[in-house]
Amino acid sequence: MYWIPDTYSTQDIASAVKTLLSGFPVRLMTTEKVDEYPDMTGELEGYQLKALNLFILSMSQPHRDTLHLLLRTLHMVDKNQGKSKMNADTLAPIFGPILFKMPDKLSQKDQEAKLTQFSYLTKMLIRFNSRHFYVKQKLLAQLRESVAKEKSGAGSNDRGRNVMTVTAASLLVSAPSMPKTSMSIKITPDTVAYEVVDAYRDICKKDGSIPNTSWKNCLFEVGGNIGERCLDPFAIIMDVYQANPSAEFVIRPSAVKSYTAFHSLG
Amino acid sequence: MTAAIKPRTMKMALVGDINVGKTSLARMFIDGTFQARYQASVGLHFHTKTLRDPSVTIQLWDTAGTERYRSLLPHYTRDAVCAVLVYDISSRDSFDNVRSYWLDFVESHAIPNMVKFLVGNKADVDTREVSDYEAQMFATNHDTFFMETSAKFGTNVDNLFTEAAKAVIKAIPETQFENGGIRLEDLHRKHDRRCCLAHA
Repeated sequence: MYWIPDTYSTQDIASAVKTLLSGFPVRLMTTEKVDEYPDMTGELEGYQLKALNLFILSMSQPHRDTLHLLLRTLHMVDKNQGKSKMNADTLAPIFGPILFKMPDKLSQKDQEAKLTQFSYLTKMLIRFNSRHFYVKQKLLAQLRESVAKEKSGAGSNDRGRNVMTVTAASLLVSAPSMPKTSMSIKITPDTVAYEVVDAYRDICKKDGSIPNTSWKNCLFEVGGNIGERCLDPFAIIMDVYQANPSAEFVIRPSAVKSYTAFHSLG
Repeated sequence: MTAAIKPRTMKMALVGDINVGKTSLARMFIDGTFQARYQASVGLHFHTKTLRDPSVTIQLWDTAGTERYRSLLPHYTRDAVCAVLVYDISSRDSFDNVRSYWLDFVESHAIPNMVKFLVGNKADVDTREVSDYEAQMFATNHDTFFMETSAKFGTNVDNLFTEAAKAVIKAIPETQFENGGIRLEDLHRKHDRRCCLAHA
């Protein structure tokens, strides 16, 4: 299908999105834990959100990234309900059955109950959108601790392959996809992630090794006591380094995050 | 004074066999367009339109007629105050299915006093297989309103929804369905604290 503006209505586009999502080999909200979806009945909303947050963080990354993009769009529809005439209440029953897979062999009554639950979960997903994707500081600290423990227990020393070093106030950042694959960036205790990315870009631009156009990269914290994580644009780099001294800092594009809005135009 | 009152919101569900023109009816009503190219609906389309007389906002839930989405239908039509049962006047089967399936379906999932509207669409075609007399008799026997429409030419389309809205106002007092939509809050009514913030 090729795109001709005005030929396709909003409904056509919505149909295409719904067909795409329901055509995936597995549903976006993975089926393996279908019985563990938070049963929200009677729970306080805070607990419900916490449960959903943990659930989403346990999803595989491609699923989570796709879900993040979709929810961001749906959240915008909900936010602009004056214009879109739709809100989370009406979006939820439409997208609920597409995001979640109905377990097999349920009676009609159980199916209806399940659908109501899916709708409710979808409503929460849409309404609180990005809150579901944050890793809480406490959880992150626990995670780092357990990974560090695991590593020391196994007796391996990861520091040998560490490509990042901080000397006084400079940070070695690598960017494998760039012509200039690594460089040292000066940081202060106030430097945040998007400033590091900006500084990298500016140096590259100065020596003309990258074109002056699109730059949609993010800073990632890789290795050490964490697998990999895309840093928030406002993450304080010095703190991240102290929490994970043996991490590498890598600049590359991210599927869901964008620092574009924070880049200085000069 | 009346201008300050928010129009009452009512949920109407369009149901019926595949390819009888549910989506076309909805589109003609909402934005006055007609698309000759047929495309099966996926799951559900949702539209809203505010009428001046009577002053109501209609939430139109245009369901897919495909067998594949049947299990989702009760979920979509829940809490609807009006069911529009659509058949194609040039298809005997689509009318027979209203009699044998769709009417039972809406009645078994309906709220009390739900308004039912039987609609013979494609009134513009020459190959009629269902007479308006027969449909009218069926409607009368089942306490259902009846109208023939043509989504292609817009005949009776606005009329249909205006009449349906009037019938709903007569049959169902507003307090029964203030939200006009589904009540997801039923699940956790006891502790619902912040959710209401997002309600319009």
